[in-house]
Amino acid sequence: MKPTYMLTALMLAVAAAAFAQDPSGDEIIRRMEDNQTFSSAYMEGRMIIADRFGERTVTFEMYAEGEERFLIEFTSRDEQGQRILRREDNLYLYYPDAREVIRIQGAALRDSLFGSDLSYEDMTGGRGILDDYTAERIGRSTVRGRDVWEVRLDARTTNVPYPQQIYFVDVDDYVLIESHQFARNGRKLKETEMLEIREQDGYRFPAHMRITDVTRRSSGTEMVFDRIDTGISIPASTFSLEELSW
Amino acid sequence: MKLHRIALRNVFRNGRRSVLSLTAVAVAAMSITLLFSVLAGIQDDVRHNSWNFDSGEVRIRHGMYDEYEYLNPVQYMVDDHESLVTALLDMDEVEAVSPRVSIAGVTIQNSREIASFGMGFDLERERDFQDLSSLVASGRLPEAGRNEAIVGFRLARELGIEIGDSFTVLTQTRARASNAFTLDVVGLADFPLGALSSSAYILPLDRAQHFVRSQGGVTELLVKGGGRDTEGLQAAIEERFATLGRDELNATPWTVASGGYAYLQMAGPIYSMFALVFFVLGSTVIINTTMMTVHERTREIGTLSALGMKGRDLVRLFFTEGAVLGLAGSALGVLIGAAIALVLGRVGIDFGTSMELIDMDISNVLYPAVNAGTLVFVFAYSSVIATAASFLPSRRAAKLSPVDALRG
Repeated sequence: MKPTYMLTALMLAVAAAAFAQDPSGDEIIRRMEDNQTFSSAYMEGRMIIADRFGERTVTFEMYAEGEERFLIEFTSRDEQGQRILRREDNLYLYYPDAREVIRIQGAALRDSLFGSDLSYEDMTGGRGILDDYTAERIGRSTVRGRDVWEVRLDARTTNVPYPQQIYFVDVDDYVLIESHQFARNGRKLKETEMLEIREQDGYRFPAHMRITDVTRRSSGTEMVFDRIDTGISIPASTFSLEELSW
Repeated sequence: MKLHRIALRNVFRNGRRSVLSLTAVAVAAMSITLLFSVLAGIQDDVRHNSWNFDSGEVRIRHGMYDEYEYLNPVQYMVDDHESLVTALLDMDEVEAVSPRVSIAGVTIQNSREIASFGMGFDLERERDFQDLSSLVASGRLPEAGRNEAIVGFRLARELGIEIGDSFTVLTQTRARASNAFTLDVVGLADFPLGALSSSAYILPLDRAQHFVRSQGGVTELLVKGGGRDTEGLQAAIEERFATLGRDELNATPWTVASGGYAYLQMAGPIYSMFALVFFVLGSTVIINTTMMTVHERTREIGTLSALGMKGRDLVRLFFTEGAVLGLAGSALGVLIGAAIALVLGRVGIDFGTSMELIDMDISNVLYPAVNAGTLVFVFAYSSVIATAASFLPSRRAAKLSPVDALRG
């Protein structure tokens, strides 16, 4: 073999090896989710909602089990006693003044939560991302000084709030740094920026983020988790409908 | 024989012709009378609905609420409304005040969101403002202190609820937080506006204040004066604000606040066009009939000329005949029109559900209103047109030579 051919073959082999080392879109998302999905957790946090009329803070406690069970109880004065329960694909709201629990389905899941930039769906998450989206790594760039993978997520079904999303995931520790959500026609709907990443119990997860609904005149909603206890024991009844209205 | 006697005899001599002329004039006068009664009814209706459900004669709100109304800015309320109501009722110009809390909300059923509009009324005070019992189609009005509501009957149908059931509404509080509450249905309301029957419910003011955590505030105060001087009422209220140091409040006359008034302003020229078309058509019928009658009698004019009646007397004769028929026809038409309008004013003209599709303060059932001034105007107008219409052909006929007139 001539040296020129050998060199070309070597370069191709190196390039292929380098390419093979880059994780796939699925792999990036899976590792990112591993970072921020706890078997169980108790969290205390606050939402700082800013709009043209000023700023207000909503505080809450949250119990989570796996990817599909959440109970959020609001503790701020104006929302005292209100609860949101997510069980599998169902979302329920409890208000002390209402005699019945409100079940949120379909398009209502995309309604704003307390006038914030988050929807009910955003707040309670839901199933794993790869159940609902196909993931494709589309590039590598820098976001706020961090080296990130760009992963495009395309919805597998219409039963998701955003037909397309782009995630910017840290190359080194697979933490989500930023994400953009788009409508079917390509119009940007929301932006989520992670302002603080916390490391705890072997997990690295966003502890302070800003969500901005770019379709409305808003300066964004900040979500801060002040306390996170992972791996705690949560009674099964915590996620029951009966317990919700107690 | 005096001319007016001959004229009267002529009217009765050819009864069929006279009845035809009289009927034509009467039908035109009746149509115009009815049209004016319906238009007056629409104006009364729009004002009534605007005053009771939308703007009052003057509406008092927080200035910022007015500015950001499209964003449902419930945080901007009228605080300490009780002392304000007392101060307003002390004013000579004010007859009644209605404090209200508006609740924009949705009821979620399965995956459907049904929008509704809650009106928190001070049921005791509302008695001086309007007769709420006239809205009750079945059941009763809610009672203060209870989580009860009377629901627009079409909204109830949409929600699938009846008297004895309950419904839950998701809304926003004064702190811009979220809240939901459950109300028992104690009655079904048939609002004069179809749009309200499809979307609105009335609940006690104290419960509405609790649900939106209003901290004693209300969304608005609707004020009624006598309706004679709305701008004067607004000015007097603003003066009172200055005295009370309530500069944050706006007093807006219904002529500015109400969509209904804007509709009247917009529709006024259109109605005037309708009236003009009616007038022209009516006038044409009157002129046509009168002229035909005179032309038909050219030979008779020739005979009278041959017998020595002078041209001026001929004109007076036919003019008097025309005037008699015009006056009688106009009077008859106006009387019949007024009678029909009076009956419809009691029974109403039911437009069914068609008005629901129109976002204006017009009721499904319209009640024509009879106005004495309008009746006098229509009578005078129709009489003048009918009489004047007989003048020109009479004068032309009187100028004919007896020979030409007798040839026809």
